[in-house]
Amino acid sequence: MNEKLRAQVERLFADAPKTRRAAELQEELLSDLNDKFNDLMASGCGEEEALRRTMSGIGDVDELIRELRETNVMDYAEMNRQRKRTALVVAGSVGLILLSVILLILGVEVFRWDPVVMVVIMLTMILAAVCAMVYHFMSRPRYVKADDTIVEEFKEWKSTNTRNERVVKSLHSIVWTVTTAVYFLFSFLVGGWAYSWVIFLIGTAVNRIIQLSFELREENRHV
Amino acid sequence: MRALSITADLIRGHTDTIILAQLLEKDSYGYEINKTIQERTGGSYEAKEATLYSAFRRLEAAGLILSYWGDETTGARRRYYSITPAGRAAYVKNKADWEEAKALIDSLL
Repeated sequence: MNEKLRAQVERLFADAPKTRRAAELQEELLSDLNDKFNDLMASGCGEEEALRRTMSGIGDVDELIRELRETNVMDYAEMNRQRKRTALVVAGSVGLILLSVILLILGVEVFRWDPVVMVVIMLTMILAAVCAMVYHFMSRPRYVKADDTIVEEFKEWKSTNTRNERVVKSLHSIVWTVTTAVYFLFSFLVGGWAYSWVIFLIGTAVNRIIQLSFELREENRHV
Repeated sequence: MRALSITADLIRGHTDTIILAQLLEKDSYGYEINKTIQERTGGSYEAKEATLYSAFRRLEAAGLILSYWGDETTGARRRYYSITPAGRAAYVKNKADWEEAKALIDSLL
């Protein structure tokens, strides 16, 4: 490796951002120029001549380095679209859950349909709503790192953490709402006040399971 | 070692396809591709590194090629590129476009 060549390339990248991508570009350029330099020397050029010809054939890397700087951190239009979609999914899911309860009451009291069947229908609708919400929150694009610098990695970690917290909190409140609703309905319809309180224990267990699965996901990612 | 400016512009405009053509034959890296261009054009055209690297980024962003590092121990590592199936398809299309353009212009001049 010709040290003068290395020095000249380093000077080219003196004002470049200190990111992994810039470092990779620099390494690739240095490697290619080194091969070119060696070929020129082998074909009989003097060191000065070889250096000059090598450096003069590079072209405008400044543009390339500038492009490295333009990091697409957040696209605000996209973010708004995401937010609207989230609102739609949550509103729709909550609406579906409430609708299922209304349906249950109507079905049993007004139309005299079989209560058990109505409860099953209600739970199925709740299931669909919860699945829709979980899927939506899971599949939302996270903050994508602009580069492998420490700052970007921290931003990504932070956004993932707050996002995970929000998801877990949402799931918790959903589980509690559903648990309470089922408790009351079951108790009123079937009259099983003696043992319907068990559902609250089940609700706690479900919440714990959700929390655990999120924590395990975090663990797996950091391994 | 520069050709007429029209030719140089044309070649630069087709850099992407030229690179794909090289990678069809075998995986390669920046300087090797440049050297091949020089040899094939009989020494009359030599690409600038900046042009090539721009093209590499473009092609990789479009999923037409992918890159990996060599395991050189001395000096800087080489960045090798290889063509993807999408790249092969793009090459075929671009070549067909070029043949068509070439025939059209030939018929007009």
